[in-house]
Amino acid sequence: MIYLERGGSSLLITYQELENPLACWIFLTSLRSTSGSSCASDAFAPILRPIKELFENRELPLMSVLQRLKILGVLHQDILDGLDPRWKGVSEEDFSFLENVTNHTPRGLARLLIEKDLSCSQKLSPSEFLDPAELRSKSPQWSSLVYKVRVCAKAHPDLVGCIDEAAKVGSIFLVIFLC
Amino acid sequence: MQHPVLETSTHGNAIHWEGEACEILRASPSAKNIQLVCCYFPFQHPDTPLGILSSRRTENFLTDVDVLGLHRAEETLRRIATECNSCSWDWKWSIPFASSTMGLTIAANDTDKYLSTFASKVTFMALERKACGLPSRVAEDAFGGLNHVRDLLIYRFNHLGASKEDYEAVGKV
Repeated sequence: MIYLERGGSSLLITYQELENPLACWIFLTSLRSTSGSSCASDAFAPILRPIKELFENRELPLMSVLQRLKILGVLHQDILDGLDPRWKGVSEEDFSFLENVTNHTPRGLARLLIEKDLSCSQKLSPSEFLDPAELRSKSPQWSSLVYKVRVCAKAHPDLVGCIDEAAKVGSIFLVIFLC
Repeated sequence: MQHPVLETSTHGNAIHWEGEACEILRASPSAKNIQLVCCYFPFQHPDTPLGILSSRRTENFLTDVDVLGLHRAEETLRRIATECNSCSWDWKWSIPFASSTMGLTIAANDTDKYLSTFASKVTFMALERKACGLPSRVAEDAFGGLNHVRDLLIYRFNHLGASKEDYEAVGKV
C-alpha cells in the first residue's frame, strides 16, 4: 500500500498496490460509496462462497464434503500466509487433484498425469525441458498442478504415498513437483 | 471487490448433514474420521457433538486408544468453540493518517500489519459457520469492525477534506 501526501497535508490521501484483501475492500468500498451499501462479508466472499456451495451440493457424500473443506482450509491459510495470491476465488478445479488421487489407483493417477504431460509438453521446445524452473514458468498448467498437489498433500498427508507411487511411473509433472 | 454481497441464510445448509455427522461421532471406529468431523463440520449447537463424544467415552468397552482419540476430538471441539466466540476487533483502531511524525511507509505497514494479524484470527471454521448461516462471534465482530473502519474513511472523505477524486485518480495509475 502506498500513501501520498498532498501539499504537506497530514491527511492520508490515497492507496495503490493493495495486497491485503481486507484493506482492499475498505478502500474500494469507501471510494465507491458513501452509504455503506456493501457488507464486509464481501471481503471474505472468495472463501465464504465455495464453502456455501459445498454444503449446497447434496450429491456428495459427507466425507467428501469434509475432505474438500480441508482443502479449502489449506487454501484459506495460504491466502493468510501470502502464499496464494488468488484471493479472487476458488473453483471446482481446486478439488480435481484430490478427486483424481482418491478415485484412481497410483497407476491410474500416473496415466492421467502423463496425459497432461503430453498436452503440456507439445507446447514446449526441447531446450525448455532442461530447466525445471523454466518448465514451471512456461507451462501454467504444470504450475497450477504443482500448486494443487502441494495443497492436497498438505491437507491430506495420508495421500502422499499414492502420489509418490504415481511419481515412480515417470510423470514429468511429478518430477518437476519433486524438484 | 468483484464479488456481490454474500447472502447468508438464517437456516444453514449444513443441517442436512448433521444427522450423518452425529452418527460418525457416535459409531465410527475411525479416529481420523471423527477428527475430520470435529475439525470441519459446523454443528448448529456445539454441545451436541460434545455430548455424543462424552457419552461414547463412558462406554466401558473402549480401549485406552479409543478414549484418547475421543478426548482429542473433544478438545478440538472446545478449541474451535472458543476461537469462534472470541472478540477479534480493536475498536480503537483505524487506518492511520500519514503525517510528518508518522511517515508514509510506517503508516502503510501499520495498516497492512494490523489487517493481516486480524485476518488470521478469523478462523476457517468461523467463516464456515457464517457461510452456513450459523452464529460466529469472531466473524460477526470482523464484519462489524471492517464496516466501522470503512465508515470512518468515508467520514474522512465527507468531513475532513480528503479528496475522493485524488484517491480515484491515483488508483488508476
